[in-house]
Amino acid sequence: MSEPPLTFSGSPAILIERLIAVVGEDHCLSRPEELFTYGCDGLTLDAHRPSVVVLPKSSQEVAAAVAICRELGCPFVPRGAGTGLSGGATPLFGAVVICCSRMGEILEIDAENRIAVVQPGVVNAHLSRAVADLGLFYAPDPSSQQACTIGGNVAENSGGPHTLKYGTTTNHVLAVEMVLPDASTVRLGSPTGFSPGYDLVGAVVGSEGTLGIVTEITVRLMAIPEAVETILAIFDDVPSACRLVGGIIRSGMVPAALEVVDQRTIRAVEASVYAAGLPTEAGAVLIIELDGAACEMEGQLARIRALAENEGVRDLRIAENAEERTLFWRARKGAFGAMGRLAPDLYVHDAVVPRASLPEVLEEICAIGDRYSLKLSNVFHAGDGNLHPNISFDRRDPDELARVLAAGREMLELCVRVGGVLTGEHGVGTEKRDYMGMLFSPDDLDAMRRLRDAFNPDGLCNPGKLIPTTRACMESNPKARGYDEVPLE
Amino acid sequence: MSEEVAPGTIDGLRAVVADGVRLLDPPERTGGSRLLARVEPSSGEELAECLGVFARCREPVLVTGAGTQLDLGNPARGVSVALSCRRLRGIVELDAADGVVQVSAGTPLAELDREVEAQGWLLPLDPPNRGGTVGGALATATCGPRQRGFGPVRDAVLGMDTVMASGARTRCGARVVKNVTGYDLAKLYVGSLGTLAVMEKVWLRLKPIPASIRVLEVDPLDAQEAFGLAVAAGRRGSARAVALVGPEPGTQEKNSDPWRLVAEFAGEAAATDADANWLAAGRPAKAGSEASIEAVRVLQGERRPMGLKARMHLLPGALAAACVHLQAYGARVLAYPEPGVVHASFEPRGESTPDWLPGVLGRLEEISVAGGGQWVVEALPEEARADWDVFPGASGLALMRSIKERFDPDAILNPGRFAGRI
Amino acid sequence: MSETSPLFDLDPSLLDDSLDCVHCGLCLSACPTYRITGRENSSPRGRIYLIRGAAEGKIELGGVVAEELGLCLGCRACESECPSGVEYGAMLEKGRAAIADAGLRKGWAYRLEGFALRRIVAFPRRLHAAFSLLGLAQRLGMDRVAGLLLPFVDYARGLLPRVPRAAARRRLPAFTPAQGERRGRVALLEGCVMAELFGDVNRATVRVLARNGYDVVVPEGQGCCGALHAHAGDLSTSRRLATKNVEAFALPGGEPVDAVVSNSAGCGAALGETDQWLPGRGEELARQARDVCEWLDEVGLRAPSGSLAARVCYDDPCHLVHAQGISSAPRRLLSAIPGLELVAHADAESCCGAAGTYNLLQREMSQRVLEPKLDALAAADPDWIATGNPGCMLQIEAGVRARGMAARVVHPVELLDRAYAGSAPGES
Repeated sequence: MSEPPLTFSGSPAILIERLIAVVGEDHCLSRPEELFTYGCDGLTLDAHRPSVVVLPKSSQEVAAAVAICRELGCPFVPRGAGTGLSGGATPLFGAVVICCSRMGEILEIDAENRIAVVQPGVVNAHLSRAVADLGLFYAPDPSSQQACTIGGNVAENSGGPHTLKYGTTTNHVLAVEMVLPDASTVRLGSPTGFSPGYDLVGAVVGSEGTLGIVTEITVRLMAIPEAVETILAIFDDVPSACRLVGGIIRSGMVPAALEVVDQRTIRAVEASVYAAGLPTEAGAVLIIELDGAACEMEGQLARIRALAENEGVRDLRIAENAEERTLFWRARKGAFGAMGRLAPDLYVHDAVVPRASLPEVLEEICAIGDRYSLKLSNVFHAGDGNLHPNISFDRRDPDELARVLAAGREMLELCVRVGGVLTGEHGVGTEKRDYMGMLFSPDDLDAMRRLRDAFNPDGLCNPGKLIPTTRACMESNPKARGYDEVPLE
Repeated sequence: MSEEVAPGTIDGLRAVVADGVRLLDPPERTGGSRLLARVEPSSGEELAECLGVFARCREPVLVTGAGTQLDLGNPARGVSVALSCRRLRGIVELDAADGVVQVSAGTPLAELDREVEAQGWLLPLDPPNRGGTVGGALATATCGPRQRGFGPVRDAVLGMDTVMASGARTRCGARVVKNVTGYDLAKLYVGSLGTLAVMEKVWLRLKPIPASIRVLEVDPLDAQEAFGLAVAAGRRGSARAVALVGPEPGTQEKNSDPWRLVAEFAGEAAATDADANWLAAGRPAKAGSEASIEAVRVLQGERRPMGLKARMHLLPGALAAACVHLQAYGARVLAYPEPGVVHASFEPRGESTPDWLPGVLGRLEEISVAGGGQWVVEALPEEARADWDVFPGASGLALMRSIKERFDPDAILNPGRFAGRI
Repeated sequence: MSETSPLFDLDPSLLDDSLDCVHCGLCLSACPTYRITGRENSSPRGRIYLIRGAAEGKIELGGVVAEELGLCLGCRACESECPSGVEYGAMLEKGRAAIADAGLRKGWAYRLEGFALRRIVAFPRRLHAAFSLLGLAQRLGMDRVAGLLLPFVDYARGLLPRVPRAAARRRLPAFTPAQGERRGRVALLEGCVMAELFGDVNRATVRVLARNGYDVVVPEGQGCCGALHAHAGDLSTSRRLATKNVEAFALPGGEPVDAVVSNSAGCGAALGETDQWLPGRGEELARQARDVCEWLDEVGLRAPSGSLAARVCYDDPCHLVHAQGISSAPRRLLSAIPGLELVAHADAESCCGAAGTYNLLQREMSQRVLEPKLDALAAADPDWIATGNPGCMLQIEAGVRARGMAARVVHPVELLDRAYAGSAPGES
């Protein structure tokens, strides 16, 4: 079992010189200010300075960069667009950031077999756009899809609103080429979706970049459904909206998406460029999306209507056309960023609970927010039981920051108590690494460590993520250190 | 006989589960092994303690469920003791509001099917052999005609409690339907033929019972029409099972349109009717039933003692050519165009196994390579199992070995059963 | 506030502005420079983080910060994607001002730009004289000679059209009466580059407005809007110029106007933000500012009956679509022209790389930003490319010519003007 390495202590000059020889001067960043912006991903509370940032263009360059890191004993961390929310791309221990943003080519689109082969830096939404004319789309649609990369999605097993019906990234990745931490390149899985032996693709998707760097991805494409209906069910409060979610699940219908947006979120979004005419006086809106054959829609709509009326829905609005539907979804997906209007900082939580417990859990989460006097808003994938309590705050107020962290911990404890988990789509990263013990025993974590060590025996690949280290107790909680103590010389 | 089992093993097992250890005299020949004893723990604690005994004694063990699918994979190497999970039985929790169930691994599938359906849900597992256990279905990851509707086996698994080779009890995943908390170890365990850990109980995701089911049988079709139609049928929104059944070998000369299509549509009545009407339009189609699907399943599970069965995974575009080649080589072919699985069954015609087998395996490899496919052997004549690895050309084998070495360093669990005889 | 003190004398509002960004990254793929370099530093989120780091004293203001703020096109495509409503454009101007004030805006090109903007562009007569001189040089072939000696001049020569003869560059009439039924009265901003290089567009604008029933006044004393100065970090000159325009457009000719119309997206955006430069005093002008297409669409275009059989690609100027949120109005106007076929192209909303003086200062990046647009335009193969900003017109025209494409670049009002010319006089 390996321990994460200590901070890179070799000569940066040699490291830089060797890496420049691989990627060229333009694509090797080493000045302090350049490194500064790579200190964190979407989780800004915990920033660390990398030794170097390289921007390779090909798998060969990735492999060469990994080989150099390994030879010089420097840890390295893969990065896509840096939109992750759990610190997966944060360079701990002076790691080299290997950023795949320049590997943005769609290598192959095979419409007959409904697959595409992409480089890891392809932006999620760009793939769906590229295949739209063929009547196809790439199903996983995280809210950051207009910016996040498919390589990053593979690392985090990203979800999105439509995972209720279509599943997460893991259900859509058929094969990968990856550079292992020993700098060798392997192909895992196959375009057919089956490969003899252990399901290594299944293990790699969602491994948060700790098993290697994925350099090419074969994904499944889906046919754009013939008909889509998007319904806004407007409620006086969040628990009522959640009860309708329970009713729909129990009814056996499988909508494409079931998303709850609360009042504070609606108001923030409606003040932004993503305004979609959501009712700002509503306590909560449940976005219900049905898709499938045109002939199915009417019957399902009628059943939804009946169920919604049972739960005391105030109003049901159905998107009249594709433009209005796009507006609704842009509003939903812009919700996280729109929170920036409420306060300088935002803590986006991510936990999952059994769907039947949503109404009670939501009430308790709000009670926790109130108890800590925090500005809490909720926008979440109700159909999956995937909660996103968002806390708006100002990190410059140390007392408020401490309350944010304490409340976050309590919310996670609550979710685990009802049978839930720490994260549904954002990942563990550095953010929840030290909370893993809430859910898993030392033996459980030991099994995970064995998997990591099989791929990454010397621990140089993205160290300090996902699994608590035995050294963790000696380190202070990274979040408590905060942004203001980013080490910079 | 005890000199063939590491000292202390049997006594150790008896101390854990007195009534669950049976000595087999004469030895039992099962799945290519010669078994001298069988242990059947009846709880997770007992399972863990049993594996602790095997670990301490460094005694390898053949882990089984009901023992119905030991034809799959390679035979275990050097095992004399079997551990069966079939007494780990029963539903732990069925949450009808959430559509999830936690069940002990040794529960018979048929029993779980019944309980789940009584609560208004459907178990989305469809192994060709319904006589096995839940754990067996997951460990083999085999799937019958309903793969199109149910998805791959691994999609049904939300969480797992397992016992490691060391005897440590661990869990991964949970009861919730979306989860990225830690590595997704369950993905590794599914389909691993029990070589990494032993399942104790699992959380499964259920599917709603469809409001309407329409089964159609269309025949006969020539190859060109059959495959185009089958792929299109498999891509209809409500398709749950689409199978193309080839003719018995040797009969195709008499019949120019040999392919029979069986399709099942499930879901909202409006959708199943629309899809069924689409398929039936202008074709000789007759209504089928559950029995039509069961017949396909039986065909897939059929085992001929001297025969060879292979499963090949192909992209839809490569399906027709591969099936025609397989058939020309004398195979009975059953194809599921979506997601692109072909089951081919061969029998020697008078030749002896050693003369016949290499040719068939070579031809399978050629056909697979030509179609960009992947394949495994699902059944071989018993006497050939020692000589032929049933997992040809697994990529990433070094990583697989590295995983096995870390999960089961002393090669206790089903040694030799898996790809590369891991 | 942060415990560390800034190393430089920064506008204190910069730190607060930078905190509006929650680092979600939705802006990344909208940013032309990020799309090309793949570097976080060259993205809006990265640049904000740099500004924040500098404001908090964590990093130097010179070096990378100055380079990356210089590399920014200022196209503000990021603002169209930003759910937090970060006012990136304003932050960029303040950041560049801080860099300029700290004496960190280095290099001869920047010094030349600063001189030109402060000493020439800010003064309409000097600018007129400069263009006259340039026109003379072009006619004598001196620019070609200079181009042989200095690569930069040769490059710049490729971007500039021939300076029109004096007749086309004369001032607009101070008053043009409405035609047909009178609907109101508007004032027109002549602009600096527009007046010198695109006098015909200005005259077409006046005719189209008049044709739509508006008296058009062109107030004395107006001048450059100051946008280029602000983009270059010279906020004090911008404020001085804005003050002049506020005075010039307050009751021009002693009567109120319904709108202050501009036909240049960059100038229009600047007019619309006068309230930010001059809080209080600038509010009236900001409220009245309208792009010509926006105004015609708002009041209802008098549809031309003359037809113009042509395939037209409309290309969105950044300062229209991203800074002012105007994208459908110009397309609606063009669609109203009988016979005209509006052809969509794949890259309409991204920057062409002109970006004010950017194509002179960041030549390589400017060209790389332009390439995808030219590819998209070549694929759409229109007769005309319509866009409503002088910088964009020059840049795209130069690119189109360099590729030998047949399409010509026009301002949307020129097409309207042609269509009206085809209509019977008095009829609309």
